[in-house]
Amino acid sequence: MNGIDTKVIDILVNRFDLDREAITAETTFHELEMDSLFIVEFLVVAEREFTTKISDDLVSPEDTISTAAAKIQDVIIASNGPA
Amino acid sequence: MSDSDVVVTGLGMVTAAGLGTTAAWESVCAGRATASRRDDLAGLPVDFACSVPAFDPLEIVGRRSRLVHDRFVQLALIAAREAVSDSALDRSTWTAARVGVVVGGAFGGVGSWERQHRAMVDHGADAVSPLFIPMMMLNMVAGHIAMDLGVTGPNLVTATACASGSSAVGTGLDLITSGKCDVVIAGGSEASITPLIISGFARMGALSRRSEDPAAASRPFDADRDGFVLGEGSGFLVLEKAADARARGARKRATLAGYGASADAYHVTTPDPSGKGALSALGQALAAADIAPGEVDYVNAHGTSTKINDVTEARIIASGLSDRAAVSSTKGVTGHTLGAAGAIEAALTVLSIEHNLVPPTANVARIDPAISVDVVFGSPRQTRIDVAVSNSFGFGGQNAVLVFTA
Repeated sequence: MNGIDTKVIDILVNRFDLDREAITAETTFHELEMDSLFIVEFLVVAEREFTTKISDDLVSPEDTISTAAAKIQDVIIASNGPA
Repeated sequence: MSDSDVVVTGLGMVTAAGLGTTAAWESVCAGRATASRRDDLAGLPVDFACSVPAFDPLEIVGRRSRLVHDRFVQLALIAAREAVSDSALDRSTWTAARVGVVVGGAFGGVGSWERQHRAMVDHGADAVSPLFIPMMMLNMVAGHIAMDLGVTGPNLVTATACASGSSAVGTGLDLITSGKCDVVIAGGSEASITPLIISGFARMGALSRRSEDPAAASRPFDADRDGFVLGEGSGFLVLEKAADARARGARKRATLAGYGASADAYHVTTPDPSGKGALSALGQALAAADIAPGEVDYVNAHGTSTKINDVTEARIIASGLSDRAAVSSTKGVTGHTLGAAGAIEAALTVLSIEHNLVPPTANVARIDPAISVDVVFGSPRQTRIDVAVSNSFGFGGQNAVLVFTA
């Protein structure tokens, strides 16, 4: 897991009362009973944590933690411009 | 007891007097005041209230509760679960589609409303939580109880201000007697101790200003009362057909014998001084219960501790019932829990019948000389209680009266 994966899991554990043991990189949001409203709430928190603007529909319930982390990483890279 | 009677087989309560029915009953009988100052009200004209003792929603209500439940829903879930557990009913013994839920409330998720409004003003529209609307809506309390218990019968809320809890219990009675439900989980819930609501009631002049001695502030019927103390909490009753309760060997705690409801059609906040509306509700409830006014042993009064309510209500009781009825208000202990009050007091009235005990009105030193009913204060009064009345009167002139029998 990279740093963003870990931070995503931290958010889910600390802010959404999920068990750390229940979450791996391949767990989907759906499996964590995170419906679309929870995902929007999660992205609001992620925006603050990663200090970047994130679209409300970036992540879907079928995405895994690692997919979501990769999408968030893409947003961070895009907002910072080419390295 | 006839087969068509509706009986109470379960009670649940969360109040400033504690989590659970036993804690509440002990505090109420001891006249133990609960009002205290709150940090979140510091600097406001009124800085105290009757607050439910601290609890951990994660532990007591369940995972994610803090994310999806406003506090008024958390309190309702705790009290409703206690009531259902007390009734010994469960998913294996009821027919889910025949179990209704009726919940009274005045303001709904006003705490969530205030927090989200502040977030929007401070940080913009995108800072508003997508979970906010379902947290704040009043009807959600009944929806959450249905989801929690898996019951699929009629599911609704009653909003008659400070009579909401009584309206819910009365509506539960109607749902059973009309044949729509076998069981109704009926109650009320309120968690409106917020800076905005306190400020609003303070501006109306409705709240006690006894900041120097908050514990003594809620003193219904006392000569020196100066307003109500806002409380929070939830109360629930499990109602079911007497025949069903008997058939399953359930413990009957009391019979819910009658319900009356009316409107003053007079003024938004002032009760009609003639008492016509309240007397109509009382008369309907007694008639439905087939009880004569002289048979009432105890009145759990609305008794808010405001100047106008208590004197008006005492006049109503004096004119509608005989002078043998003992009267007390349990709001001296619980504070005024608005939409939950009628349900909490209905549950306390059932306990009064069970124990043949009139709880004292807390904090009373000297009865207002303008009040001529037999107000019990100082210590509880042991007396046979076969018939008890619980009064509730709401802003808007909405009146609801319940009659319970042993």
